Amino acid sequence: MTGTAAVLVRRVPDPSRLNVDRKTGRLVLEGTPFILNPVDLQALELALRTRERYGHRVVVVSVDHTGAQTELHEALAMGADEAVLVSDPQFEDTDPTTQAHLFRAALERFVHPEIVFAASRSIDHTWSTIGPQLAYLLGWPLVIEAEELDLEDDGVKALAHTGDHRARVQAKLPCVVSVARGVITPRHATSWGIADAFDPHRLTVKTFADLGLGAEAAERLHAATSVRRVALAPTERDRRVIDGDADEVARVLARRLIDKGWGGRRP
Amino acid sequence: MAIEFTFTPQQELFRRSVRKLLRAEIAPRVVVEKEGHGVFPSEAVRILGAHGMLGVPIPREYGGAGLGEVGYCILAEELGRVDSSLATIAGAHTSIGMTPIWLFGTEEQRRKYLPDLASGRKLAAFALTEPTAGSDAASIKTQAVREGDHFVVNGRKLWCTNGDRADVIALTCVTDPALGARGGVTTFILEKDTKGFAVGTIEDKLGIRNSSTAELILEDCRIPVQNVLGQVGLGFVVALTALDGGRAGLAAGVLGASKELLDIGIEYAKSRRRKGEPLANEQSIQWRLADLAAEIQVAEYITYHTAALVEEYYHRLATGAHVPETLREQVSMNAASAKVFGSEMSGRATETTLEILGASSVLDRNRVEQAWRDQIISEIYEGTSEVQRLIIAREILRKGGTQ
Repeated sequence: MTGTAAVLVRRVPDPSRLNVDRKTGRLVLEGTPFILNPVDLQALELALRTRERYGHRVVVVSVDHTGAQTELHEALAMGADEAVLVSDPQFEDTDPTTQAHLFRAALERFVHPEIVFAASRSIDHTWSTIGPQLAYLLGWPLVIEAEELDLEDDGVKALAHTGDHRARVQAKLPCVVSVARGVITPRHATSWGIADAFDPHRLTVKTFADLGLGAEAAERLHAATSVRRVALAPTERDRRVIDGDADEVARVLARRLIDKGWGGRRP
Repeated sequence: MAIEFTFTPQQELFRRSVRKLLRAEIAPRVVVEKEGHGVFPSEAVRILGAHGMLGVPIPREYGGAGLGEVGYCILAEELGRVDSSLATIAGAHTSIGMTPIWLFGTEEQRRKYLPDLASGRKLAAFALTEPTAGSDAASIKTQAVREGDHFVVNGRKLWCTNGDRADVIALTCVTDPALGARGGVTTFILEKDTKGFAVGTIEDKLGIRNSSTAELILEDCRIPVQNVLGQVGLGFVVALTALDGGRAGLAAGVLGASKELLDIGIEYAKSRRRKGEPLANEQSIQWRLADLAAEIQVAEYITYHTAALVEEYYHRLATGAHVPETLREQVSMNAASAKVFGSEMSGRATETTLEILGASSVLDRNRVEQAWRDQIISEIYEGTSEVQRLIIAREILRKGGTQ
């Protein structure tokens, strides 16, 4: 493959600098610094590693209502070749469903990728479905929770981590790859990368009008889903005492873990 | 004259990226070593080099990042927060070892040395001080005598940071004793494998122990004529120009160290309770923290104001543009003020934090205890506080205090 890989990125509030309103118990986002969603950095890293072996172009793409470019400069400093920002105040009320439509239009108009990398999670809870939704809209195969990737003539081979097991999966190109959280360590930007990241030719800024979706689509720029309530999933702690000598205890423990689907193969 | 500082988005991104790199890769590798000579942080230096942190002010065309003196001071400040030894190593390499080659070197010298130095593949140092010439740098004795296409150098240099680690050393020698500082001093680019050059004693220091401070011995050391930096007789200008920038970087380093100390003090004052109340509720503690915070603000302004002036000055020097005398004087005076204020402030910062933390601060291998040992040196090296005051006094007595 010598074409283009797109990486979808999104800015999220910096979790180390969050403030909570004492009265309402809600987050105060005003004045909070933003960062790139950490899992997006991992997706970018996988795209960059793939580029080192196969030589395609890596373009980061963002859909955002604020017009902020800092995070895209960061992605360029890490080594992305180009960045496309589609920014419009009308996007303020969008969710992954509407954003997937916007990304599809942006990719088809400005990027023409053969492969799209997306994070499988975001730290602000609203991003995990972007890969699957985009794959559905594009009609492309989807690799979920990828940890490693090989490109072949007409497809990809990936190591994917799903639930309690890892699987080797294959998909035809073009495809969407949703990247697993926490497996890939992103590289640090270098001073040279930062120096070159501000070359104006490497960042393209577009608006909703440039997507050519028409007035009708503008009517639909509202969140299709809404969050009613956020709660922690209930968990239960299972306590058991295993008796016997060390080997016996280890054997019993391993068997129980495997039976629970928490890893490994039955010996 | 700037009234308000705004870092550019690029400088902001640079600071964030440096911070991220230092937190993830460098801070875990910092070792507090109090026995023997300390441990030179080779791996940390390698990581800094690989990320372009050892060539920040050098232009892109010579393999640096071209982020200017302000960029370099951002790095120095962030390094100062993490480890003063590393800030010292990077400072000796960048601002006084490598920068003179950029500012005064011939095009050939720049192309030969800068790419390796700016990428951290090689390390640089600066050698001026001698056993009988410290603050009175003009009385150096190390002599270089021309013989054909070589200069034969004899003498000794002291307190050379990175001296035993450097591949390239900016070496200041007397070439004409009669002319002295006015045209009789020349800087040479000394390569470490040159015959007649040897490293002597490695000093065992109170602080910044992981940076190495070496004695250099030159015995009939033959340096080729093409390694004269700039031109014969320019050495004193080279040294003073490099030191001006170096002082801005040092001011940035102690600014970072002081911010870190303030944070440690605040953290402790908020968490430590006495009679059920956090220490931070006591006015005596609040005042000490407030004084320090105010001083840090002052230091930050003068440091980056100086950095911006140095950036302009160096850019003009390197490109051969006209350098107004007033800019040169402004740089010297500001760099001296930033250095003396910053280093002495970091002394007060150490004292404040020591007193707030009480017994906890003097425990062995504690960060405050280490800062205390490191800080003292900042008032001595690259021009003592007294030398900075001499420079400031010279300017104000000549031109008046309010320019």
